[in-house]
Amino acid sequence: MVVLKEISEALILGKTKKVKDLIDQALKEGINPIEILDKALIPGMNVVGEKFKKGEYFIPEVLIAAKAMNEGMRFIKPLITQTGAAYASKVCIGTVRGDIHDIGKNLVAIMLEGAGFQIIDLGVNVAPEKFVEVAKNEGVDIVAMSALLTTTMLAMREVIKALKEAGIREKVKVMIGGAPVTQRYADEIGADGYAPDAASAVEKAKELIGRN
Amino acid sequence: MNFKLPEDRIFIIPLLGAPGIKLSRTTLKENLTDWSIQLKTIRLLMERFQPDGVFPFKDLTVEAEALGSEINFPEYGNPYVTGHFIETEDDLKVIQSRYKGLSGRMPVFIKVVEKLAKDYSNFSLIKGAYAIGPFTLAGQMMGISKLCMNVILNAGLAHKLIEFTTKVIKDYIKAFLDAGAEIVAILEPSAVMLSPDQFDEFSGKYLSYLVKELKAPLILHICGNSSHLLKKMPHTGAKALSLDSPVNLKEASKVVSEEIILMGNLAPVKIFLQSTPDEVAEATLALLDETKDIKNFILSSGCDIPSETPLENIEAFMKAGRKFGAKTSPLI
Repeated sequence: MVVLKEISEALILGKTKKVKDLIDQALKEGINPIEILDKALIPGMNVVGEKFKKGEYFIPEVLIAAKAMNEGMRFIKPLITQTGAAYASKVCIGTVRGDIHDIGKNLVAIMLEGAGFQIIDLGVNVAPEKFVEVAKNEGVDIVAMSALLTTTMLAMREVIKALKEAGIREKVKVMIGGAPVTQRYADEIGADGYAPDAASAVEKAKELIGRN
Repeated sequence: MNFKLPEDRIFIIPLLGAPGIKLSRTTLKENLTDWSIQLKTIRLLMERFQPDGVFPFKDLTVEAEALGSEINFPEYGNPYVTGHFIETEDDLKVIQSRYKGLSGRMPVFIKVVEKLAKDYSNFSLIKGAYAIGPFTLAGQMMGISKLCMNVILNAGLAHKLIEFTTKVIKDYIKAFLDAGAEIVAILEPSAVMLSPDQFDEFSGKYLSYLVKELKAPLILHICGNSSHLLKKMPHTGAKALSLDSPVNLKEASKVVSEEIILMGNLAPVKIFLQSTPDEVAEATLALLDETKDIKNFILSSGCDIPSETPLENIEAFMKAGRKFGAKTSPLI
C-alpha cells in the first residue's frame, strides 16, 4: 500500500491537491476509506503534531497540513458514513465570547475529528447560552472551549456556570485551552481538563471519556 | 534620539491601562474612544502607581479600523476586528487607494500621547506610545490563518500586503513622535507563530525598515513564547525587547546583546490577576533576582495587565520592585 504512505507524506507537506488525487487513486485501488483515514491521514497529522512539538514545524506549516487533512477528510467522510462506522463521542467546540481567534480551536477540532470524535464546531465569539443549547440538544459528551486573550478567557467560567444552571454540568466533560490558560485556571473554574496544545488535547479528550 | 537607562535604579513599567478603569470609574470603550477620558484614567494610574514610564491604553484595532476593517466594540471588553478581509491583490489595491493617512481613532491616541508628554515633561519618565506590528496588522486585514498559509503558498501577496501595513504604521508612529513620544512599542503578537526564518522575512525585515526610516527607538513586543525568535529579534534594530512571561529572561540575556534593553515579564494572568499581593511581591523579587545580572533591564509585566486585576497586586509589584531597585519614585 505505497499509496497510503504517499498520502501521509503529501499531507505532512501540506499539499492539498496531491492528497486529494492520491485518495482518489487509493479508492480506485479498492482501499477502504476507513483505512485511508486510520493509516494515512491520522498518522500524517500525528507526524505534523510531533514536528510542531519539536520545533521543526511552525504554525504556517501546521496550517497548510491541517488544510490538506481537512480537504482529505471532507472527501472520504461521506464514504465512511455510508459504511456505517459509528463515531465514538461528540464534542462541541468553540472560541468563547469576545474572542475571535480560531487557529488553535480549529487545529484541536481537526485533530479530534481525526481521532474519531464527532465535532460540532460553534465557531468564534460563542455566547455561553450557545454552548449550553448545543450541549443540551445534541447530547454532547465534551464541551471544549478556547481563548487566546487574557481578558476573554474569563468567559470560560461563565460557560461552566451556565451549564450548571441548565442542570447539565454533570452530563458533560469540560475541557479548555488557549495561550493564557493554565491548569491552575482550569482547576479554579472547575473545568475537567486542560491541554497545552492540540495533540495533548486529543489525549485529554480520550482520557475524559475513558477511552485510554 | 538616544536615551540610556539610569544606573542607580531599576526602571519599572508595568503594561498598564486597562486596570485604570477602576480608578476613573469608566468603561474600556469610553477610554478607547475619548481622549479626555483616557487621559484622566492614565493620570490616575500614574498618581497611584508611579511607574517610570507613561503609555496610553493599548488597543490592537486602531490601525485596522482606520483602514476600514469592521470592529466589534463591546462596552466592557476589548474591541476586535471582525471582517473585511483582503483575499486578492485587487482587494489590497482598493484598500490602498482609500488610504489617506491618519484616520479613525488614531487622533484619540495621538492626542493622549501629546498631553501626557507635556504633563510629564519635567520628569525622567519614558514617554511612550503603542503601534501594531506590520505582520499582525496584515493578519487582521487578510485573516491571520490565511496570512500564515500565504507565507508558504503565496509569499508575493503576503509581502505586498505587509509593505502596505508597514507604510500605515510608519505614518502613525511618525505622528506619535511629533506629538512628543520618545519611544514607541511595536506590538507584533502574531509573529510568535512564525519560524525564525519566516519571522526575518515577513516581520523582522519590515521592523528594521521602520527603525531606519523613523530614526527613533522602538520596543519590540511579541506575546507568548518567543524564545525561538530571540536570535532574530535583535536584527530589527529595536532598542528594547519586551518579552512575555513564558520566556526565561536570564536565558534570553545570553542570546541578546547587552546593549539591547530587555523588558519583562511577570505573568499577567497567573501572577497579576490570580495571585495575592504577597504572592505578587514574592514573584517580583524572584524575577529581580533572576535578572540581576542583565545590564539593561526594565521590570515589567509580560503582557497587558487585565482590567479585572486587583489594584493591590499592581501596588505589591511596584513596592517589591522599588525595594529591590529604585531609591525613589521619579514622580516625587
